[in-house]
Amino acid sequence: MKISKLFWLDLRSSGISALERLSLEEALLRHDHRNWFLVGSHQPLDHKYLTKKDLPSYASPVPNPDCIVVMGVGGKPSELLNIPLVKSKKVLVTKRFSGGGTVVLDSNSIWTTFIGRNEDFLPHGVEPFPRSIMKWTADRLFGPAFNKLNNARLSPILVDENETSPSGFGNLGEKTMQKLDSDVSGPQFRLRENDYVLGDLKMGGNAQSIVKDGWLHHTSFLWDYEDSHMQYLMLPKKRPDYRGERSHRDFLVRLKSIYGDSSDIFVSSLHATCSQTALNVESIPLNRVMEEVVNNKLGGMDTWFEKCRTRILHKFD
Amino acid sequence: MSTAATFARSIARRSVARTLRTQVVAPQFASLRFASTYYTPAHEYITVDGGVGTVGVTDFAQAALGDIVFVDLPELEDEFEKGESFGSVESVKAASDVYAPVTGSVTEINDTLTDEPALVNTGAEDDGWFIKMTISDESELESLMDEAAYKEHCEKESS
Repeated sequence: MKISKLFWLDLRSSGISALERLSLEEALLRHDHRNWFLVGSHQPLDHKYLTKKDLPSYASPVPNPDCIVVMGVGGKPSELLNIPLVKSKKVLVTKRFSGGGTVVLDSNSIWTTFIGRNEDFLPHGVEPFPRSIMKWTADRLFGPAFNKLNNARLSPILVDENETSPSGFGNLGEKTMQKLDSDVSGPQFRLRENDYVLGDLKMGGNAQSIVKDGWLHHTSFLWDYEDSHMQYLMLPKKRPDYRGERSHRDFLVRLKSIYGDSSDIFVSSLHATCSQTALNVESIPLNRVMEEVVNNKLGGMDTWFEKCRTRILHKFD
Repeated sequence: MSTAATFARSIARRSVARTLRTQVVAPQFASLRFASTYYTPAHEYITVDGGVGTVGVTDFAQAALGDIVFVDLPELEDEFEKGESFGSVESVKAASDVYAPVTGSVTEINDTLTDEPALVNTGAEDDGWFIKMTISDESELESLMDEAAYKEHCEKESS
C-alpha cells in the first residue's frame, strides 16, 4: 500500500522550541489537509517565533532551560509529577493536545510526527481509531525503519555496481534496500501494549490526536536522556503490565547505547521508509510551512498559541 | 485483515445492534414529545427533546475507541457552530475530537464523567452523555442521519 503524497519537514537545526513544535503540529493537523512527516530535536524554550511570555510564577523570571515536561490532555499533575521538585527546579510543565502519558523532553529526544488523512488511509484499511493507527505506524513505519537501522549497524552496506553510491538511505537503489529490509537482526523493535520497545525496554513515548479528516501520531524517541530529568516523574499508577514495578531507569533504553551518538542514521532510515509508504515524498522548508499555514491562516505563532490546545500549566491542582 | 482489526469490527457490529435499540420517533408522533435521536458520520448522537439536545458519542464509537480514560468537556454557556469541535475523549493514548451535531450553546455538562470516564464505555447513549445544548436552528437536524442511515454507515465502516 502506498499513499499518494507525503510532505517531509526536517526540523533538525530549525531553531524552533519544543513548545513551538507542539503548536506547529497542531496547526498542521487542524488547519492543513496534507499528509506530513516531521522529525527533529528541540531546545525546550529557545523560541524562534513565539514572543509572548506566559510563565507561571514558580518558574519566573527564568525557567529551567534544560528540559520541559509535556503531559497528555488528561494528565493529572498530582498523580504524575514530583511537584515540589518541578517547582524548585523551575521546570515548565505543559499539556499537549494529544492523549497519552508524560514525557520529559530535552534536546536529546528525537521527535517524530506523522499526520495521515482519512481520504488516503481509509482505502487502505487504516481507520481513524487508536489501535488501527498504532498498528500501521508499527508495521509500516517504525518496524521497517528499525530493521534498516539494525542491518546497517551490523553489516556494511553493500552497494551493487549498478546502483548509485549511497549518501543516506534515501538514495539507495532497490536491491540494496531489499538487503536492508531483510534478515532482521539486532534488538527487536515491536509494539508492546501500546509502547514502542526494544526487547522489553521502552525507547520513547507515543501519543495520538484524531480529528474529523485524519490523525496525528507523534513519538519522542530517547536517543539520550539525563537521569536527573526522570526524577520529575512519579511512577504512574496506570502502567503497562510488562513494565512491572521497574523505575524509569530500569524500564527505558537510550538508543545511542545501541546505535551510536549520531541520530542521523535513524532519520535516514525513516526517510527511506517513508519513501516506501508514499508514491511521492516532497521535502518542504520550515519557512514555507510557517508562511502557508501558521501566518496566512492563523495569524502567526503568537496568535495561534493563544488558541491552540497546548498550554503551559500555571497551577498543579 | 488483522486479528485485532477483525476483533474490533466484531465489537463494532454488536455495538451497532445495541445502538439501534435507542428510541426513535416517527415524524407523525412528534407532537407527543417523544425524544428523537440523530447521528453524525463521526459517530456523535444528539437526542432532541423539547428544543434541547443531549449529545455524546455512540456505542459504535466507544467500542472502536477502547477504554475511555478522560473526557474533556466545554464550559456552560459555551457556543458552538455545527461541526465545530466542543471537546475530546481520550483512549489508548489518543485524544479524539468530538463535534457539535448542531449549532447551539451548552446548557448542561455531565460532570460525572470527570471522575468516571468509563461511563462512556458502559453507557455511551445513556448515562455516558457529554453535554446538553440548545438548538439554534432545527433545520440543521435534517442533514443528520436517522437510525437506519446510521446503521448502514456503521456497517460500511465495519466491512
